[in-house]
Amino acid sequence: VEGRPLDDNELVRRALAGDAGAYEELVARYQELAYRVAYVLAGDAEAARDAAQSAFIKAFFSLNRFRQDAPFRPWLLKIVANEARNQRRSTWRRSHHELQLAEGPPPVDSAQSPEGAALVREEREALLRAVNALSDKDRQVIVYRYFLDLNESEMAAIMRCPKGTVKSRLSRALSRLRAQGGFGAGDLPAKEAAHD
Amino acid sequence: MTELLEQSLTELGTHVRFPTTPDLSFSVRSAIESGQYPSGTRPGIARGRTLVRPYMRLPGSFARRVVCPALAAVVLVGAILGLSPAARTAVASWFHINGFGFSSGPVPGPLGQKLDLGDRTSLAGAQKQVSFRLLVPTLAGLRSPDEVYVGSPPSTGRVTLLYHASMEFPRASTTGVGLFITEFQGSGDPVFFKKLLSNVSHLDFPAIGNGRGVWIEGPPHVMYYVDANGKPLKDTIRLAGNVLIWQQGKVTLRLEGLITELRALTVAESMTPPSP
Repeated sequence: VEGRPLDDNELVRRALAGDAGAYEELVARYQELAYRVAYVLAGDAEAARDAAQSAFIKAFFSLNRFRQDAPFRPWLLKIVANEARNQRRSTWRRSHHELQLAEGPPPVDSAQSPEGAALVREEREALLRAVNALSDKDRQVIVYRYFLDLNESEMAAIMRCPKGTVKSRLSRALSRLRAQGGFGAGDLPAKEAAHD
Repeated sequence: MTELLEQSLTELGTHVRFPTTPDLSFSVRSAIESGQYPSGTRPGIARGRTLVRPYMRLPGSFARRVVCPALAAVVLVGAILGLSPAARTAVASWFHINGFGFSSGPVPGPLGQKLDLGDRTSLAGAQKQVSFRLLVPTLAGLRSPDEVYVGSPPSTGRVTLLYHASMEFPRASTTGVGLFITEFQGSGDPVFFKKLLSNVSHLDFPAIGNGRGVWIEGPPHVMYYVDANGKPLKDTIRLAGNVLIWQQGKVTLRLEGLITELRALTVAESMTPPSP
């Protein structure tokens, strides 16, 4: 595949026409997202790798059933989610895992003081602890929406429910997070970040 | 308030650590080329273990391990997966690597009526005529085949265990019998395992033992043997029903009958050398 990046559906059309590179491009494009979705559901890095790989293979063999006027991502993520659930069931792995903050370098181009940076990190850790303390379902919907930046269609495909249900589940998860974390406006890192 | 919380979560998302994403491109392509279709777990067959671990057990060459008789190749012109014509092309082009490919086109000759099983003999007689160790099912009712044949190709011999139709194994219109299992020894020679793809059947690559097999289910497809040059052997072209092909040790086995995939796998997993 050369030149400008092709959109997903064009890559699907090319893969169906026998262009192996086109499907490899789709794998390369979405392997991180697929892996992370699988990780959220399977709760284990090894199981997530199995699930993501199986999903891409199954998706290839099911390409003829993909509606080419529909977005590719929700279709793929639905397969990924199914594979991740299968992995979780078949390997008896626990699904609840603790998300952690990345060990990022200290800010170098910010006017933020070291104390300010430490404060922001503490606040992020507090919020993440609250997310981790949620039930699996609540935590997953939060992660899909805010950490993986999935849209409602993609979340609905993963969660096997209508988009309206996604909205209500997200709303309830936010309410529980707010209640559980006891977050006042001043406790939220975004406020600090907005002042950076 | 909720909006601020959402902003905070979005910001937090950029700082959350996920495990490093593995590069799946190569393993996915290898698996597809090798026919490692992940079929999920299969209780009773898998004995509780996970079957879908393709990245762990990708064979060097599915074609060499599963479909490699000595001088002849089994060519199955069959049905697959409900793929569209375009998808068939894609699958064919991917699978053709490593000598494992699909083909399309007309049936290469008139359909024969015979099974071309060879000469009738006994289990002991068959064992004396081939160099590989015969395998028979240990399931009740299948330990003693109703008929045993030895034929060729390949030149190293091909043994067929035939079972008459029964309640458990109904008569298949393609063979007129209940079940038969063909065994021959692969030599590592490259072999083309091809299928004429259509939209009506199901293809699976189930785990059997430590490897994988090929299961073709659906309307009858055409199978025939080819010579060392890949030319169809006359009089071997016939319709076949549901088929499972797999490798056990050095022996390639082919099971055909009007049965389900699960039943075929149960039979396949029971195959062992006959008691003396």
